[in-house]
Formats: sequence, structure tokens, C-alpha cells
Amino acid sequence: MALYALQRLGAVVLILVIMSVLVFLATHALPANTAALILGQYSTPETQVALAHKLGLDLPLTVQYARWALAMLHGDFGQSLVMERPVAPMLFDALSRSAVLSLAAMVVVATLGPALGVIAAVRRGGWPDHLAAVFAYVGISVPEFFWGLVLILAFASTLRWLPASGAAEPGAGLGATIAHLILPVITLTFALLAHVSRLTRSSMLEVLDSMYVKAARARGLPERRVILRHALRNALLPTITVLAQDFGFLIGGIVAVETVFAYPGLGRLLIFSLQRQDLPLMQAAILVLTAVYCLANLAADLLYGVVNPRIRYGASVE
Amino acid sequence: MALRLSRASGAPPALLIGGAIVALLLLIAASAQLIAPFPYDQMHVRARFAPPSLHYLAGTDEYGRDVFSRLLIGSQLSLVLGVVATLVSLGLGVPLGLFAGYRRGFADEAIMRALDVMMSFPPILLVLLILVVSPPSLLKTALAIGVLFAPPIARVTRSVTLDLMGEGFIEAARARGEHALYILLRELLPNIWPVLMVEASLRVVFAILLGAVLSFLGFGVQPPAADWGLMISNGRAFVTIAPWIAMAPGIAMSLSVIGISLLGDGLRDLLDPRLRGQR
Repeated sequence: MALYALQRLGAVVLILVIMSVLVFLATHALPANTAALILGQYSTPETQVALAHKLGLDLPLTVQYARWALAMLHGDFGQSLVMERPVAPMLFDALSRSAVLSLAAMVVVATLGPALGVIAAVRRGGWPDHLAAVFAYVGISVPEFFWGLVLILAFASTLRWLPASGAAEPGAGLGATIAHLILPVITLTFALLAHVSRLTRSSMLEVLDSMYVKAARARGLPERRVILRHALRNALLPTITVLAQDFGFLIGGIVAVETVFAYPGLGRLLIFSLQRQDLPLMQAAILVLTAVYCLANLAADLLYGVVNPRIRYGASVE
Repeated sequence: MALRLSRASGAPPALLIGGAIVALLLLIAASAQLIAPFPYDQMHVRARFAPPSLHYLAGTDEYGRDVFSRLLIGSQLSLVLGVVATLVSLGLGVPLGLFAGYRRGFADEAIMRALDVMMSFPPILLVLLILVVSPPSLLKTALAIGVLFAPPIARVTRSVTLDLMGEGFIEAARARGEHALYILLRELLPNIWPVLMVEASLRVVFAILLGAVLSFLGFGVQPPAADWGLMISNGRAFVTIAPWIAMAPGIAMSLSVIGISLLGDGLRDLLDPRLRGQR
């Protein structure tokens, strides 16, 4: 297990290195001229060349990459060209806001998803099951950013119950913070909830059909106990992996949802940097997102190994 | 009605409802230019933000363009994006998967590990990176999404190929001394086809949704195209004063996606006998 975890950690490092090369090459293929961006529209070609030389932008690409990667490793993410502030603190603020948003969404999905799935499985063929099926279809089929707009229209513009966009000011208190989170969290949760509840339903159905559940029923145990103690514990195994994998899906969702709600997180920072061609910010945002994504997937796999004793990583799988 | 039809014909209801929606979508896309009341980019300056009426069925947008006409034309863009992206991913993924499953050994290992690496990147970041380095366009978005979706197609193809390799008819073909290419194309591919159809329908849905997110973020199809994601993105600023600008394309897109996923699920139920009678 420990060896397997180390191997996988090595793979994450490898992926980050590949991504850093990709990001570096991509940003150098961009039409943006860093020196011109810094000096503004009234600069002359001569001053631009001079600044490019001073910043080392005329060095060979390999040397530039080595300098950049070394600085990143030391926690120096450079200076944002548009905002003229160091990238690292900006990134940290955005990351912590995104983390709050995605963790809140995960908590909702992890509690409601399995619950809905179990109800649908136990009442299979009844109206709760059909309702859950319709809900799942709609949840998966409607793009998140559109859900976000519908919610804004309903709860912010029409009913005026909740704020339409942004995040609460740092000292605004718990109520305001939660109020700003409700709509984005619902939006993020929708597709995932559909996914998790469907999966729980199908694994629950499989387990309910198994011999040990039949045996438990034959022993005359109350149905409630059979479902919660015998069936659910086994049915939840695949759900746990999917939950952790969905964390990666959340990262894709967060980019769109943060844009809809103008929520100042990492996703919006990334889109801002791409639109304004703010190279240092773009590079750092992409690398941090990739790292979070890889680590979440790694955690998912390891967690699955822990909860499911039938899986033992590192041993021969063939 | 669909339920009664499905009982009569034995086909899953999802297949019928999904098939009907997809057929309607194809019909609309094929005849969009004919049935659209106005050209999609014609501006009616005096009728900006007109609410839905008999004249403008889904209202007009901030330039006075007819939202209904734009919806119709937009169906073509969404379908082209979904289909081209899926064809690209099939074109890349199927040969890779077939080859890996057929040759096994080192080639298999190398291909699968490379795909693993590709699949460990957050998908939206890869597409954004591809799209940001050069001017965006519909075809480029479709290509980028197609490349992104090739690894899962290759995985599915490989696993089915591996299953089939142990079957008698492959052994028979080998014993007859058939050429590898013949076995791949005439024996393996036709048997993989049903699984690929289901997977492809799923990919069309994902491609349309991802394409919509990209245009919504401003990195996909560019204005003044009548792309649904782009229309939602434009309508976002006016959602309080003219909600129809964003709601109409959003509803159109959701219905289309529901239709295609129902069709895919129906196909799976029909083609995979193990699932029959479970639903």
C-alpha cells in the first residue's frame, strides 16, 4: 500500500512536470508580448527590447523554462502583469474561496446523493424512483452555467432572497458568507447529485438481490436493519470512489459556475488570466488546478483501497 | 403514447422518446435556413429586447436579432460540434484500442500508459490550453474536444477487443491464416460496433456540453455566430430585463441533450442483453 502510494505520488509529480512544460510552451506560443504588456501602449520598440532583455525574455527557451520552474519550486509564482501584484497571495485567496465552495458542494453531494439513491432503490418502480430518474436526467443534461442563470433569475432577481453574485466581504459575518454560497453550491451540486444517486441506486439494487441480504431477511431481521446495516455498507463502496473522482469533475464545473456567479475563486482567476493574457497568473493558476485535480484523484484511489479490503494495491492484479 | 408504443413494439421507451427528440432536432437542423423567419444576424434596431410574440416567437436580443431564428441555426452548430468531435475521437481512439488489444504485450502497455497520462489532466484545462494559443473557431473546438475524448474511446475498444480475442471465431480466422488487418476490420470491428455506438452517443452529449461551456466562457465559437452557449453567455447580462435571450437557448440545449442521452440509454438497453428487464 505504502509503495503503491509512493508510486502514484511519483506519477502525480511526472504529470505536473509534463503540464508545466505544456503550459510554458503554450504561453510562449501566445501572441501576447510580455514587455509590451508591462510597458503599456505608449512604449517604443526600443524600450520593449530593453525590458525583454532585462527580464531574460531573449534567452533560449530551455533556460527560461529552467528559471521559471526553479522559481515556482521556491514558491515564487511571479508578478501578475495586469494587476501588478505578486501572483502567490492572489492565487492563495482564490484557492481558499474555491475550496470553501467545492467542499460545501461535496458535503451536500455526499449526504444527499446516497440518500436519494437508497430511497430510489428501496422504492424501485414507485414514484420516488421515477422522480429520481427524471431528476437525474435533468441534472446531467442541463449545463451548469445555465442552471446558475435560472437560479439567479428565480431566487435573486425575482424573489430577491439571495445575492446574485460575488462572495461576501471578509468581515461580513457567517450569514452573508452562507447566503453568497447557496446558489453556486446548488448549481455545482446538481449534476453530481444526479450521478451519485444513480450509482448508489444501481449498486444498492445489486446488493439487495444478493444472497447475504436474502439470508438476513430470512433470519427475520427488520427491513430497516437489513437495508442500513447489511445492504448499504456494501453498496456504498463504488459510491465512495465516484464521490472522490467527482471532485475532479468539480474543478471543471467550478470554472463555469464561478464565472456565472462572479465568484472570486480560482476558476474565475484562470478565465481572467486567459482573457487578459496575463501569462504568470495563467501559468500558476493552471498548475495549481492540475495539482489539486491529480491529488484528488490519488486520494480517491487510496481511499477506495482503504474502505474495500478486497482491493489491495501494489500486489499483482492480473 | 411512447409508453404504449414501446409496449407494442418491445423497444425501450427511452429509445422511442430519445429517438423522436433526436429526429426532430435533425429535421430542424437540416431545414433551419428554410424555416427560420429571419436571417440569424439580421438586426431589428427598433425591436431590441422585444418579448416573445407572434412576430418574434422567442423575442429579440440586445441587437434586435430574432432569438427563434438564431435558435434554429444554432442547432446546426451544436450538432456539428457534437458529431465532428465524436468522429475525431472515434477516428483516433478505435484504431489505438484495436491495435493495443490485438497486439497486447509491450505495444499495449505503452499505449495504455500514454493514455493514462493524458487522462490524468483536468480535461477543461487541456482544451482551454489548446484553444487559447490560436484564434478560436467551431472546428478547432470540435477537434480539441475530439482529441480529449479519444483516450476513453480507446480504452473501451481495447477492453472489448481483449474479450473478443478469446472467442472461437477469432481463433478460426487465425487458423485459416487470415491477415491481421482482415481480422481487425472484418472480425473484430463489427463486434465492437454496438458498444461503440453507445459510447459514441454519450460522447456526443459530453462534446455538446463542453463546447457550450467553452463558448460560454468566450473560448469557443465567436460572435456573431448563433451558438447556443454563446447566446446564453450574451443573454446573461440581460437576464433580469429580457430573460428569454438566455432561457430560450438554454432550454433548447437541455432538451437536445436529454434527447440524445435517452437515445443512448435506449440503445444500450437494446444492445446489451444483460440489462434487459432490469429497468
